Amino acid sequence: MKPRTRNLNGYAFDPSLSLLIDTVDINTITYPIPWEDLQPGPIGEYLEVVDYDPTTKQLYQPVDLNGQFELVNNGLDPSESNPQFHQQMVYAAAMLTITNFEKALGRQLFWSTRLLQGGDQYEQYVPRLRMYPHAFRDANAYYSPEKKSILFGYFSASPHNVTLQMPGSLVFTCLSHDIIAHETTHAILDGLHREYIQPTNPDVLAFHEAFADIIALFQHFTFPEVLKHQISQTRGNLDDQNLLGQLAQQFGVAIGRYGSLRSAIGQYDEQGKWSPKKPDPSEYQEVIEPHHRGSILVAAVFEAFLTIYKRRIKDLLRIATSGTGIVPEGELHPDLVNRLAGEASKSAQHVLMMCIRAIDYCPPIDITFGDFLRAIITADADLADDDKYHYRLAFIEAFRRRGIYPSGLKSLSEESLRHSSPSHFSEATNRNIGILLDFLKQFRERLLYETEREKIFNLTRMYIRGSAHIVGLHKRLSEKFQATYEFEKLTGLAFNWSKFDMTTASARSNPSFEVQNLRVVSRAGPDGKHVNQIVFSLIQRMGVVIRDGKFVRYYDPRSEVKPQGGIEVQGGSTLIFDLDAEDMRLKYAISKPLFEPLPSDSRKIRQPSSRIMKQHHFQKHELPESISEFAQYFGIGCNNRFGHMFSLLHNH
Amino acid sequence: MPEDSKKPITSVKIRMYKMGTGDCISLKFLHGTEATYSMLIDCGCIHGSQDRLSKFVKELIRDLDGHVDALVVTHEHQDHVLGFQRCEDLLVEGLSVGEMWMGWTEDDGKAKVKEWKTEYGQKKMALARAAEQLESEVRSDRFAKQLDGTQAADELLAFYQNFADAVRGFAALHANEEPENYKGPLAGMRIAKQELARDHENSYLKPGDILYDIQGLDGVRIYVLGPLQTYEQVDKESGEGDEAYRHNKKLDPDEFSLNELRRRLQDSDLFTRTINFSGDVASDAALSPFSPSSFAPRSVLKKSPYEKEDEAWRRIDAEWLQSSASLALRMNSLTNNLSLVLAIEFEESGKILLFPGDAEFGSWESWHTIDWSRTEPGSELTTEEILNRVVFYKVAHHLSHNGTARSIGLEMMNDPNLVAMATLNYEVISSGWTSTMPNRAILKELLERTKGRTIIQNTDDLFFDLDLTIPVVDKIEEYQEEMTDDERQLYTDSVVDDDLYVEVTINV
Repeated sequence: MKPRTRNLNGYAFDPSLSLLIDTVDINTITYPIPWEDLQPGPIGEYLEVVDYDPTTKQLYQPVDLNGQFELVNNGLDPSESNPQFHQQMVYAAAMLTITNFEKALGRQLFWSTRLLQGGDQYEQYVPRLRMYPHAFRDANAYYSPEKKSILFGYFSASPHNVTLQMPGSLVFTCLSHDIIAHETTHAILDGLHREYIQPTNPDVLAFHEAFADIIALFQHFTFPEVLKHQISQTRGNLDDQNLLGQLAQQFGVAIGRYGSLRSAIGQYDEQGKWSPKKPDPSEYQEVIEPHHRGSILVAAVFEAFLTIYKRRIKDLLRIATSGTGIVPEGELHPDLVNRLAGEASKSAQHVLMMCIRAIDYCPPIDITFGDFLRAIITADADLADDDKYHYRLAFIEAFRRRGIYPSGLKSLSEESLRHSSPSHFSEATNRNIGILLDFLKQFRERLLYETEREKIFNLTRMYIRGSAHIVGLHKRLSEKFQATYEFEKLTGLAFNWSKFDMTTASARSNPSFEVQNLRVVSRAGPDGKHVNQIVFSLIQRMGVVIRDGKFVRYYDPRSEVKPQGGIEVQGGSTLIFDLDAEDMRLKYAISKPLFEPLPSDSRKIRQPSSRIMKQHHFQKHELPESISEFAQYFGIGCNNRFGHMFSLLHNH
Repeated sequence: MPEDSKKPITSVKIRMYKMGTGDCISLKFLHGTEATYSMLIDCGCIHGSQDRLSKFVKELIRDLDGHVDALVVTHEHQDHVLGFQRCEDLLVEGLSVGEMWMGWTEDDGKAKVKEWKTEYGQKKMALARAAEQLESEVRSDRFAKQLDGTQAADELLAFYQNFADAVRGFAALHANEEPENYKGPLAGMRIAKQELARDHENSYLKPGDILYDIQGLDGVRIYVLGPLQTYEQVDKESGEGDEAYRHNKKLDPDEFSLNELRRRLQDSDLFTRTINFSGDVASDAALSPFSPSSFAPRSVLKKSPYEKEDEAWRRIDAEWLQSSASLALRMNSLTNNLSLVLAIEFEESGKILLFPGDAEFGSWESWHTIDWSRTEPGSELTTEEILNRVVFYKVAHHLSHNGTARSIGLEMMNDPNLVAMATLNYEVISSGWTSTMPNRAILKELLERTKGRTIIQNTDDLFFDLDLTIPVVDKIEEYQEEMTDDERQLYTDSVVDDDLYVEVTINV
């Protein structure tokens, strides 16, 4: 029988902390990675570590984690000078991130496909994300959507703190847990929502950064060893939140710019004392630069975490201090340290899971921080009926204090934040939904016992496109679907052109869709509650001509060259179907509408949604002012379709 | 000099030569109609042959009567010194120099400065070499082949090629044409420093210096605002950032500043050394990160996923050369911030002409930290006050976003008769610059503050909006309507627009 896990040695922070007597003991931890067969590299099911260094034109000998010494020793011992350990570290931290995502999402992960010449329908399955631990010589690391690879750099240190690093010594970004987790998250998010690199509103790019940072941060906090150390150092006020905030900020700062998002959590005063930063609602209104804006979201989630943690340790504090709240002099009892660290780690794990799960409840395009909050609340309420520690309230409160409000809501109660299930449809709409349900039932049945990722991928694609035996989802939507106002309103998408005045002769007969992210989901909640769902997204592209801030007309970008004042926009809807209900039903439609639907007035041309008008304004007036100098000089600006793909690359 | 024989300056003719994007600006100081002093600030543009530039330089020499009292070279970028190189013979023969002013970081007679300049030279060489390699990589068959089959491969290839072009543009700004044989400063800089005949030793100026009692400049004081000397802010070109400020008073300010400059680029040291190394990087113990015992044999490499033919699209052979882009950008800012910044004051009226070279935000910020009472005990002058009194502003860095600080710069220039001059010219410009110049927000602010008295070297192909529908000339006209008729007449009369130059007369 194969073991359940493969334990691997790795750094908890990065090598620099092994040089400090204070932290040397906690800097090496074991990463428990679910067992899988590995080839030298390591190359497994999800990852291939390819240690080719183009600067030396050498492949560094790939590590074989199945070697006898490696097997008895939890892999290789941490070492800066052994590239094989670097490979192991990259593998371990990235796999931990992947495992956390799969656990939270209740399904297997897929990398974003490689798009091939010949149009949107040509794509290639990418089984493994590639990791290049020594790809270039610069203080940077990035995920390349083009190469489906993460490239790590190494460089000569220019430390702010010369006690942590020797000036001029080599620093390897591939040895930092936070950097690996951050970049892996970018790759995972690209596989889940590939449109999230289009800056359609000020939040989108900021979200990509913030989400990656949140995952890295809270994954880090799940290591109890790291927390124990910090907690045992405390004297006095035990629920002193500063201690965790300070720690959060320390993660990742050793390698310069990586901790930048976290500077929003707090700051050091002149005496070197750390204090949390007061939330400032005007920041969210004014700041556009993605990193700075992203830091607002990171700070919000961090505050929610602290609230949760404090609530969870209340009883422990009472016990420890006999109700006085004052900790006696001297060292803390190790049992107490253990318990506190355990609670902190558990809180972090919960926050991590909540944030990841929310991703399936987000719209497929144009995400805002408010959408993310609604997704967190809805996803969590689906899975955990009883919210005894008030996790959801902690999130709502933290977002509210930063002025992050979802649009179109009347109040910020949990109830109104939760997406509601649509019901009471007309017969025609029910028929439409029925068409989808039929399809999903067939699809689910076929997939029920399939575990191989590539097979699942191929089957999914076949079910979307259709084959000789299967009527694909595309065909069902374009041929059988009867456009009803209700369904168009629900999804915010167009199912025929009749109300769009598409006079261009070449416009195709029906609007087309892209189906993304069709997945069968099975999740387990904290109380053992199971949720079984099918999720998929519809995305539609449309051209809109806007001049002087006013809508002029629509055009079909597939058949008409971009006219003056034209912009290409997208609408999209994430549809979530509940499989547990007696009868399968549409549970949520989380939509970003293309147009403002009008009731029954059949003569009028539909107006683009206010969201589209905002997008136009943003891309025209605000975005050009906010893109980085780097992006401007090197042609990565707004006028290049690859621009935003590359913006992921160079912004650290 | 007896009081009554003084000849206070009454007006200045400021002339911008239309060589191309870059600065070549002459100043003639007049007492009534008598020219008492002349100055030349920089002589360059981003590229151009001797042939093309000669006609400008000939006119310049003619106009200045073969002599310039002060030659000012603001900083070592090709778009400020190329003219000296291309037209060396014309200038050496035709132009004599009274004295020469530069920033203190050009004082390479000082061992410390020289040492730093040599190290910085290594970065320039690396940038030039990397740009060349990147260029040849992205134009190779191998590179194009790796993109084969990928969606929109042509566009992607064009993207990479533009990227490489932009890096090359930056390289050309910093280094002479032969990177392999890189030796020392830009040729134009060397010629300006050494070859032109002059009457006095070169002066290397520091922030806080005040020049006065200059013969021919009666009633004029010149304040030196930059290049900054304690460098903690040197790379804050974006107007943001939360760098820790460190002060160490024990250090000599030169030394401290130079170390700070070094530190700014230190994390590119490994890249620099690697690019500049001509041998086999893998077998060099100082450059290879690991010992040769960790290299896999060729047979293992051959079987590795890296060599799989159908996965060639994932190869990363040229990616590492892209690091040159971030190096280029940082060097660009660093050199820009080393610009000599002069504020020329006319004591009687208090009016000020501001020539900031290409100073970026970090430099602007440092001007405000200058304590003028240290140079002039009892003085209550602040830099803000200097900016308040600016009547003529040579726009820094060709109207780019970073060239002009907003709240601590432009927004402090409130003189109702402000005139601005920008050295931007789309006919001759570096690839990559067109996307940053002009910065629309800066342009708009300038037009508002000057009521359209903004002179751009060449407005052809310049648009006010990003949709390229409103020509900048139209917008200038539009803003000029805010002047009264008298104002407008006065302004129109003060400007001479010739094929080779545009000249504006400022009454002081």
